[in-house]
Amino acid sequence: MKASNGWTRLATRGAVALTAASVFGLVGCSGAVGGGPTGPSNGGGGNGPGGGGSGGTPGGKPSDVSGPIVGLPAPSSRLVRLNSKQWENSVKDLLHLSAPLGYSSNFVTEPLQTSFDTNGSVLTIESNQWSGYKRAALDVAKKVARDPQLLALVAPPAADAATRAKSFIRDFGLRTFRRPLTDADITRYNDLFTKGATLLATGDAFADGVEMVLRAFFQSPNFLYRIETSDTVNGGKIALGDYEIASRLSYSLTNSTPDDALLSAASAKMLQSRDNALTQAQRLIASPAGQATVSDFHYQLLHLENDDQIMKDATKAPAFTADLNASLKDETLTFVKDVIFGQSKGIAELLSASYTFANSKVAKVYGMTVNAPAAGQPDPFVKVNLDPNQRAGILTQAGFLSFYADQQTPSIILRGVRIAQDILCADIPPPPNTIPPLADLAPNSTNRKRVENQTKDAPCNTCHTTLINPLGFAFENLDGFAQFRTQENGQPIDASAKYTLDGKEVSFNGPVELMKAVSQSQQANDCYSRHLAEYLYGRKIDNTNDADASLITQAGARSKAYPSAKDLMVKLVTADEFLNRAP
Amino acid sequence: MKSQSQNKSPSIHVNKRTVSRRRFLRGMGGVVVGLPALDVFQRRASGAVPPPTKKIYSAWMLQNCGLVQGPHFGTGGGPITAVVANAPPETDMFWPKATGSITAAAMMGADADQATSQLVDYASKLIFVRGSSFKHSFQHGGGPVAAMTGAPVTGVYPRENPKSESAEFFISRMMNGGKPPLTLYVGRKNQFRDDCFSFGLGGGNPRVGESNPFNVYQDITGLTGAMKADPAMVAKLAAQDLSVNDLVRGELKDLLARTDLSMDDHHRIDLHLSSVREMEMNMTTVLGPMLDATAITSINGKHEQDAFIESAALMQMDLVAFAFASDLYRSAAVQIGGANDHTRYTVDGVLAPAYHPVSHRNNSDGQNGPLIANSVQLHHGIDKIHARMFKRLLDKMAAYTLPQGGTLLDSSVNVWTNSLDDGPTHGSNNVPYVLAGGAAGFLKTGLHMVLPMGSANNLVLNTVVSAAGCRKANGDLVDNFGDPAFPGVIPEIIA
Repeated sequence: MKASNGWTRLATRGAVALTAASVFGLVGCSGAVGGGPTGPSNGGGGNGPGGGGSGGTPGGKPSDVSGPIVGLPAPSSRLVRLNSKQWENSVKDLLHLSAPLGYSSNFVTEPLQTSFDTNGSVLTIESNQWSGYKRAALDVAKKVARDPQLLALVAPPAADAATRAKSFIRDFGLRTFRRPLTDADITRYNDLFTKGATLLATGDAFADGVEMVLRAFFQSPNFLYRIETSDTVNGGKIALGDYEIASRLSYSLTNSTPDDALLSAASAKMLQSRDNALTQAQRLIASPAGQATVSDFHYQLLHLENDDQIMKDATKAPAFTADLNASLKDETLTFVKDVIFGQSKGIAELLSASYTFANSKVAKVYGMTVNAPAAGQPDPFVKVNLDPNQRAGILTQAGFLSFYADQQTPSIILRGVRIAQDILCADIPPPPNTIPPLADLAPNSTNRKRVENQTKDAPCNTCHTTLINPLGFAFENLDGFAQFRTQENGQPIDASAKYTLDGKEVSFNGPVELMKAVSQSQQANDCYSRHLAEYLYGRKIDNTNDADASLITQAGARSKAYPSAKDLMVKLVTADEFLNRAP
Repeated sequence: MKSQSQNKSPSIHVNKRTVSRRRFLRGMGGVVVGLPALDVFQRRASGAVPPPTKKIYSAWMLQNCGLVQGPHFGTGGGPITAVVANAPPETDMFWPKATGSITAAAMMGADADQATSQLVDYASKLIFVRGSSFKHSFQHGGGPVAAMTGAPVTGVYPRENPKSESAEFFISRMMNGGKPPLTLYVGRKNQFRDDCFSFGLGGGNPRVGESNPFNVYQDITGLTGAMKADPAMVAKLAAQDLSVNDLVRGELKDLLARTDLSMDDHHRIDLHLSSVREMEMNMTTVLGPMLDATAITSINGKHEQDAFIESAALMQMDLVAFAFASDLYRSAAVQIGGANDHTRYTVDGVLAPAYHPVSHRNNSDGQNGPLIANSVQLHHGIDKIHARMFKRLLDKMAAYTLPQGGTLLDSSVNVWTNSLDDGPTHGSNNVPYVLAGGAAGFLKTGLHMVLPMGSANNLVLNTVVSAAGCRKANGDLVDNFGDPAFPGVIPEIIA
């Protein structure tokens, strides 16, 4: 949940609750990205705080958008806790395992506190989390210390046990803490290693020492948090150290600990150079872990967890079988992967493409046929072309359409809210508390008329008529079973509406025209950039802060000019704001 | 801290069975194992030690999706009828038919099938307060928040968060030296909105409830398996744990010493340090007959499966009672299911459809969908299941006897409430509060009453937190919890 600015993740399922949530009036809504001081940019302009540089946009004048994103950094936490996914990936990669151990499944489940679960700056360690970390640390330590292969991996043989122990603490400590250990660290951990033989007393003194040290490594704040200690202020900002940059790059782009190449680059003091950081970023994003991270971002952005909750009446929508929901998520993720990695495109294509990927189950939803696999065989996704007059992009795919609907009847309001908030970053405040459900659909009337009638008066109309309803109206051609329709209740569908994009009123009729306008808007590019920044930076982007506002203005301009999501991510993680921190 | 010699005092009596003394592991610069039991259990030499300070414990249980209780009793309200075609109007199947005194005779007679009659064993210790209203947040997302806080909210449905803490957090903060309460959950997570019943100081994001009884068991005992019977093993474990904790504590303190941390970062490290310290204080040894360690261990990993959720709930109740009896916590919150609970309960031996559609009476999460046959009876059966969960808590608390006389139940006030009033309307003007335990004489028990239509649930919250011992700075009863715009207590249930 984007808590403080009225954004929300309406990960909902109850249709009564859903419709009720937004039927009534909303005050103080704004179509601008975040409602901050800058608003949507126009082709690269902005009102950032300055900072200059070849690609900067100080003073609101269009400039070269091919260069790096520059400017002063916004405040950020010095202690960013790993989330469960990052903990699991880090342990797997530290131990060079082929698959996660799965110990984080016993951690207490934490609610999403801001936009994305990567925002560790708001995560704390209360006693229930701490007990989970303790248990997992004990289990990992025992597993490694008592497995000769793993033990040799973390503590390679050496001339003698003392040398081997020191090398283990120094080398595995560096990888675990993501920085070289200090002399004080080494002394503390050497002492603990020595105590191991007494404390565990299994008869294998070396393994006992390793087990005790690993217990401590995996409970250490230096492992559980990404800690930034650089403190030298120069030019209004603090340049991060090489190891701190390595951690930022690695966790942002792979949700895991820095690999050997990144640590080597940090050791060689190469990462404070933007060019070197860019090379590493490009390498990481192309890796399997990088691709998984891109999938994870879109999974969260598009609330794909909701697809698990889709329940349709099988007598009316036979394609919606009990095992369809997982395929609906895979459809979207396969599509995202093809657009971003297969075609090196970005948000514009995601919102406007007239194709998707379907397996045998998803194809049935679209009235197509993809041969079903033999029993026990995979059901692969293949690219299928959709009617370009009916569908455009990710929001016309079956998952979005069927979740935000009550059986066959679309939820105009929820579809509108989702598009306004997730795609256009409209600032919509909470609805009032006393909200009646939508009236029943009257005979010979339409869903649109029902919503128009119930939201036409103040205070509802403040946001509904300008920010929410028009977006939902355009999608009335696509029903809750994800089917295109031109009539409802014997009445023609009216999917025409007007909406203000980039400060100009745009008219459209139907989802294709709407998504064409949205995909070409600066506002959608700014919004996508903002979401990406929140995910990659692991913190809330505050558009009321000049530094963050400038960041989004510059990133949005680059997204529109060079519409590759991969490139946009690389720009964001090599921006001044990423490579530095605020004093 | 008690002396080592006290550790040799006789074993205590629980439910007429002798169990060993409960002991603690504490790390205070050295390992000290086998420290004395809590004063709640302390068997003292006659007259040698003053009686223990009166302590009131309070557990709160949240059911979701409303009750089968008909319209507001007394002042009216329209008939409850589901939107789905052919749904019959609904009548009260939850409360005793008469208000006034709660009697076991009525609960076993004319009211035998009412859901609250599952609590007949405790008729004289119950208080039924019906008909309160939520004032700030509603329905599935906001109802749990309102039920526990009565506070104005921020955020957007279904993720409203309160502007102030929940009642059980307030009780723990006021009465247990600022220590957070025990926060538990029963059922699946990652659903519509799961944790939404417990909130810390200042409100904000929900506190996370632990859903796995096995984890709770480990947390409050610090031991598993054979170790609980082996003090030498305990000492060894303690030494290992302390060595690591000392190292971690040193690193945390180094971080805390930095002068360039933000307030948020400082707070984060403080909280982490407190968590390290708290785990060291956890109890380590004999659990006695009050917890079935074998069953708790066997449910590990299955606790979110429909077939095991009811069992998991009963175990969580056992653990709450045990944690109170051990004085580890003064208050606890147990949320049963997510805000639109999709558990498939087994009602009268038959696996029912998911609870939320049952509460709607039609087979969907919305208003459309075919009528679920017998859905009112199914919901009534699910109400009874929740009643039995609450009864389990009361059973276990009644089983712990106090050295000064009476039981832990007598020195407690426990609450069973709901995030809605009924399923079909998803309303918030007839919200139930079932109270149990007299708070050591503070409350007048054995009473069934209905609040006038529109009465804020803050009246209930004010009364319960006062019963738990909380007072305003001037010593008066708390009458402003959650929102001072709805002041007052319920004098009828105060002795």
